[in-house]
Amino acid sequence: MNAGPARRQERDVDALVIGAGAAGCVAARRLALAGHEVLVLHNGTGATRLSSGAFDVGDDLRDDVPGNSSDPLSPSSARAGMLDVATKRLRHPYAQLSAGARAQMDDAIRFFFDATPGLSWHRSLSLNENLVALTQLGTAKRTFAALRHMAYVGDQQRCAVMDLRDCGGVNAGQIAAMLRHVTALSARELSYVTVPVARVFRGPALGHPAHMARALDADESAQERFVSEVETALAGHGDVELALFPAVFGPDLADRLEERTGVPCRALMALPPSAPGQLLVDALHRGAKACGAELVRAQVSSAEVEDGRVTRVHAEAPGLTVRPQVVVLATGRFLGGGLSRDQVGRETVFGLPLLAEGQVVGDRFIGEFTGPVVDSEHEIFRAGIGYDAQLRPVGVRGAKVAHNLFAAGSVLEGYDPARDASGLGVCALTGYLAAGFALEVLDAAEDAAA
Amino acid sequence: MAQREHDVIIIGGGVNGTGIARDCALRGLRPLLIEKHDFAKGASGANTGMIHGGIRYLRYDVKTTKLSCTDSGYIQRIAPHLLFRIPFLFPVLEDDAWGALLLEGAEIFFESYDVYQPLKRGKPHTRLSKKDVLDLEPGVSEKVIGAVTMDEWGIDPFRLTVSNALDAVGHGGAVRTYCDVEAFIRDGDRIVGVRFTDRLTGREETHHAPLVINATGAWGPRIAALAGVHYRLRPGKGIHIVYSHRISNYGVVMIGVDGRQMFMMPHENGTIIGTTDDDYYGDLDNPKATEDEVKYLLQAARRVFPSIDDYRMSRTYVGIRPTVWAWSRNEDLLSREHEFYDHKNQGADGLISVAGGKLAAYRQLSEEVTDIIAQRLGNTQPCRTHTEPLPGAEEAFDVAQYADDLSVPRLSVARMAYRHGCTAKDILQQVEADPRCGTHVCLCEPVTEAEVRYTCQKEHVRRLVDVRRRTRVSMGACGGTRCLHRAAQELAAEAQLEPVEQLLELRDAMCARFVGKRPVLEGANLATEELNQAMHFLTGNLRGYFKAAELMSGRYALTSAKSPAADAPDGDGEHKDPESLTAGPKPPQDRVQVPSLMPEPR
Repeated sequence: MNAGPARRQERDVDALVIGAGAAGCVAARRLALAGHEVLVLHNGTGATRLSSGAFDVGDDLRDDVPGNSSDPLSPSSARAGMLDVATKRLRHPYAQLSAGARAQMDDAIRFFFDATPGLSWHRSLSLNENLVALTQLGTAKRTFAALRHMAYVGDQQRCAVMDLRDCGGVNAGQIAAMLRHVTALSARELSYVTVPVARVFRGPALGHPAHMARALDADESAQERFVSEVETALAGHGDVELALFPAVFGPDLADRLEERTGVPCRALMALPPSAPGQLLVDALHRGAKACGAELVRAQVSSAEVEDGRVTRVHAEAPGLTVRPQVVVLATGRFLGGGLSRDQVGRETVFGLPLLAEGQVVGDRFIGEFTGPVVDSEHEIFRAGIGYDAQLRPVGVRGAKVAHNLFAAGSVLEGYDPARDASGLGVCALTGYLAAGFALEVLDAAEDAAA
Repeated sequence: MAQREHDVIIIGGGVNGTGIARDCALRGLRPLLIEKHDFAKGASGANTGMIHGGIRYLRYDVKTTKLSCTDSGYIQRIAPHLLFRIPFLFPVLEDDAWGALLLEGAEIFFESYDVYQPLKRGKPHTRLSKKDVLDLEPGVSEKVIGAVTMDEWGIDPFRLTVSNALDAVGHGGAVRTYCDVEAFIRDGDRIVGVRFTDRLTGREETHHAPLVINATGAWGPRIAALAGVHYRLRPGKGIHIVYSHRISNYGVVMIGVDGRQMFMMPHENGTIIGTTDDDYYGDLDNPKATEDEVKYLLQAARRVFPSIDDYRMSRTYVGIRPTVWAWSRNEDLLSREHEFYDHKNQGADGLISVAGGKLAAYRQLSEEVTDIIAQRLGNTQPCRTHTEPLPGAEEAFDVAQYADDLSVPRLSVARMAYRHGCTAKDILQQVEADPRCGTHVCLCEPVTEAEVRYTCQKEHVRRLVDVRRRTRVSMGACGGTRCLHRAAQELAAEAQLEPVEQLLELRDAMCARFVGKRPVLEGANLATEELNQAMHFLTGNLRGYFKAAELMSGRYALTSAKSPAADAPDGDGEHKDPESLTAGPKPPQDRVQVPSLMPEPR
């Protein structure tokens, strides 16, 4: 079974992207669109796959003011949010990147939406307005864009929370109660009723909305029964203007439901494991492949740097050595496998030091990088690798590691998607920019060769 | 003069307090039990989870060993569903001091333990060769030269404690959790009752009884001080590390760098290693596992089980032993025996304090205390706690039949039956009414929605953290990532909590989990926590709602008035004990200032 050295495959490519989450796929697509041969190595897991289908760019960091009562159902500006982050979180990529680089966010976002073929997004036309999405916890959350079938607050007032008798793992009554609480904090006047939907499956209840989504997906006749049960359920509530469901369907079934019931039927933003995260990653992969990038699932293990240049990257299962012209490191954080901390914190491919608020984490006690309560700030969740203005990883003393190595996404130090309301926005922007900087290196090499 | 609403008031809802309450109730007395937090919040829930025979004490405390073994046998009789066998290996390594001689010595030592094994249906020791050991437990160091086995029993200490409380109530007793004793009621030299405040409602109550038992463990001297009397303890802090899964087939005895014996053992769905034993002078309400303690345990585990670092630590927990006071003895040499202090001669007739004790001997301790109570009150009923089954042990329960009939996975029903015995029948009835109750709130342990609802209805649950102790929700590998918000919803539905209360319950339970996770955020555990944070604060956007809920409940205002650290932007420094928060501002009280031997809580 041992794939000895003889079994290792060696390949030359123009660009190697490590990681196929949001940042990696955006970078791969941009490099491939420019006509380069792009190989993407990825391990099949990561934070994008576990995401909720919401695309955050920026929001007011209201958490700086404890209990700030700003209206949770009113939209905010993503652009203002970016500035807010850039001024308050000085190590955040929005603050570290130049204003010129930051200004490319509009291009990056357009690029991102193009990079998810087959997905339909709901978004406002400019960065000046976030939409207000509703979640499976009964809370509201501002985000720049969400998959079209996800729940967000429009101009409807009378909402129904659908109580699916088939689906365990949710409590519709409590979601409605929490939505009422959130609405009470707002100037909006939304009302919520709980509407039971009879069972369409036999046997034990499905354990989780994602299970029901899978069951519906696999069974055309169940879909039809579901649509007609929802129709029956809503028939008794003629005044309902918006029906909120656990995330048990994709956009197609949402459309069918709306057609039959005459009521917009949307899915509450789901917690992992969620179908939307899966849909997003699948679309990103399609988008990269469509432009000619090749995706290979493998575990990248190490890399060689000679004379300020990455010369080889080694992967296992399958054993593969890649000799790239440029490398984009988009391996994510602890969840994606880009960073690890087992006694000692480090970046996993190049062994770069793990920084948190500019300090080397090393083997220091984890307690020094965490706050005392769960929702306080935790430096460890802003940890990542240092980088320069061109997104090139740097060592402890600030010297770049290699001139053909760029980093993108959550492997970068300084931002916490759970607190900075900028998760996929940073990935889209840095993935886009890193590819741009990498293209400069590739172009210069071509010029030199010519 | 004194009213007699209750025959006896027991302060402390640990295993001893609930055990005494049960014994009193079974003898026809009417006890009232008052607990500041929840059942088994302190040392009763933070131990190794073994009804063991006390082999650690065999060298210098034979009496405790014998007592433990006898009582272990009784506990098996009254709560067979709660026990699980843990065979232990005592491996001897080639670099152990005395090497092969130690193995011989160990065998002689365990032979002497064999004498007590029949008392608890334990099997006699066996001697294993190097090959035997590595066949049975491949994770043990290659340096092993042989091992001796011993046989012990594990238990869910939370369930043991709450079962005692439930049985006390079932036989006419009363229990009150989240009630903080403020003062004793006196009639001259006699203690005739207590005044306490319900910490969740802020309501103050006074209850009378001719006898008051102080069974508050390490907090005992503080309670005694409220009556102006004192006794001394040697509080000892012990921590454990919990791993996400079972990583060994057997329990393994490990030796610390200082020669102390410790254990690594399968416990329910995980593995625990522990424990430490250090004199503790810190804040009783907020003990924390430190980096040093974690490293000390890992060092010992690594030596005998070198692959330990490949596995995932999921959390730590801490408890403070109420060890009986002695001078000039190191922690390990302190007796685990219990003692009672009658405070009559100190001017508090009717108040008796309980010190020491251990989980495995709780029933014996309770019997002895209840004997004293019965004698004082003229009750002549015999003790029945060693023959009467605890709730759920009354009859057998057919896991496979119920699981298959209701289409609930057999493992889930088996775990439910482990915790609840035949009471699982009542729990599963809900699944017949609504099949969704058969789905899981917690997949790690696993726990069904029906069990969460049942515990909220019937088991004196007042807070989300109580659900955790009753059912093990959030004690598993994911550390509350998937289950806590679901359990909060079900608690809110059953207890009709307002959304603000539900948010605060969720936050406090998440904080309680985080305190345990924080010292071991390494490897995969760090990735899980990243997911946990993303789910609740990114997708759920809960940070703002938590803070708004605090403001609305008045809690933030209350704590910020006290704590200068509240000026920090995210309120760092507050909420030292996430479980000690009250639901609303407490009405001002005329608190009696009394001298205390223990440091006052800040």
